Amino acid sequence: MKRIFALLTGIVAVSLQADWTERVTINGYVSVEYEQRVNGDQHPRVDEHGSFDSDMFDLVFNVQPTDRLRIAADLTWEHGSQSELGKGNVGMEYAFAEYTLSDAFKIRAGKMFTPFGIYNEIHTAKPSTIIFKEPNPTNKIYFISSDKYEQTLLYPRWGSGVAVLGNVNVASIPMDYIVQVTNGDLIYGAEGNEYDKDDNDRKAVTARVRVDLSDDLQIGASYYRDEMVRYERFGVEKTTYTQAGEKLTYVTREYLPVGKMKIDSQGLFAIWHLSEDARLELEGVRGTLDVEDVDSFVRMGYSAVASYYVLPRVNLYLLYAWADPNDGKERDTVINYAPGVNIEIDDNMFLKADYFNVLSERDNALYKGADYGEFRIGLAIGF
Amino acid sequence: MKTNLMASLLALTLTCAAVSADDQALLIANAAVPERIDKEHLEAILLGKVTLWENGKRILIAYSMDDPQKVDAFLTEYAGQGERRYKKYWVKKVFAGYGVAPKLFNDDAKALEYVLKTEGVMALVSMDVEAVPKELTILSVEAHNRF
Repeated sequence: MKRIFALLTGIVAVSLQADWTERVTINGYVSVEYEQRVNGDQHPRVDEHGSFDSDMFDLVFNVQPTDRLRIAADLTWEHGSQSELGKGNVGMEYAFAEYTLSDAFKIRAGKMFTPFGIYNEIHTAKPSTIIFKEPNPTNKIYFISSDKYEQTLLYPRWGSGVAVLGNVNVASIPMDYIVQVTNGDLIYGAEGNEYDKDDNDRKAVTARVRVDLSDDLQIGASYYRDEMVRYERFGVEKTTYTQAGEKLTYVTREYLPVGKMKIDSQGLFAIWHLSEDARLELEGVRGTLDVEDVDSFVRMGYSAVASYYVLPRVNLYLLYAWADPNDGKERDTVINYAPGVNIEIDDNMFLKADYFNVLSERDNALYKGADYGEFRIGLAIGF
Repeated sequence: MKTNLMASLLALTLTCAAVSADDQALLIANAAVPERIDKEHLEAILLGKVTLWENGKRILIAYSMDDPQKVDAFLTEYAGQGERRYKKYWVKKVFAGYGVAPKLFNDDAKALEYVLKTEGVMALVSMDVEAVPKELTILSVEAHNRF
């Protein structure tokens, strides 16, 4: 009897295991980079020594417990993560459950990328982009300005919440949409975890639609709105007592809520395959930042990437991007341009190299008129 | 008139070649999958925009690179993009969190093995019709049995 039970248990275990593994898919990517300034002004943003960066190891899991349910998670280890030394970054880019009621209507819940524009959802996934890194003007405004308000993200990288999404045909034109409601962003440095607990009643809303006008031309529009708590750093007096009962008073600097900030960002983009070899990516973003009782201004930027396969696995590209972090200020714009090459050495193994240039105007808060060029080379492997 | 006649004859010749020659890839599937697929519907499936069969089963896509030229020609015709672009399309889609990529095999035998044991899968292979096991369905797009 025991033998029969053991045999049956074994069969059940094996079948469950087989069933389980068939429903789990693991993908991921690795990227290693080297960057060095080659000309122009010295600036803290640029590496004058030349450095290797163990940029990324990333695993993407897809688990499909049923035909309609998918659990997706993206776990990442960035910049040589070493928690013992407090270095690098370990992160959960996304982890959500998605239920397919129909292909036109799916529901998601969990932590998700903010679905804005072309690049945010693939900003870490180097094998999926032609260019070396995503454009700063539309995706990393904190690499355009260091002003405490201007550097506020046009939309956060991630959000905790729910979303509805799907693929539909309107007048025989295929399109996809997503509408996401999340806690929104939290000012960098302020205490709290916006993926766990919101610090205000207003929820952030992101919406994006992508329309496939043909097999070769996709256009899209994105929208993000949020109302955030504005924090300022103040010295706060604190008191403690020694073991001997002696009173000690000291001052710490803490972020305290002082008001509100409203973010309203809109984007337009297009991806156009002029042929199987030539491609054009265009994106423009415009956003209003309304800092209650302080300032209200518009930020804008655009990027253009043209690429062409000169050989079946050799893709030449040119990135050109521009940003104005504050329309109320003069002489503060930044231009980035980068001619580069993306070579597929083996299946999903890419060698990327570019000559990245920054041109800034003198009143830009981050660059203060500095211009420089850096050489960047990296290996990105997808699996 | 002469020009039109020549053009019609040329078009007829090309159409026949596309339908009957052995230089086209085959789309095979496990049971419980419709035998006919509309071309637009097939494109939506290949691009991961349609993910469920009519019976509610999840659609799984696979393709074999036994004959890369056949695969490239098929995807160009039915997914609107060549194999290189198609692969990049899926890499981007998977990392962005929008689905599970098609399963890729180096040869037809492994793809066949996968289709035989997996429900709901639709696979692109380069083998001859005669080599396809009888328990599998050869899908046709519109009125064509071969691609």
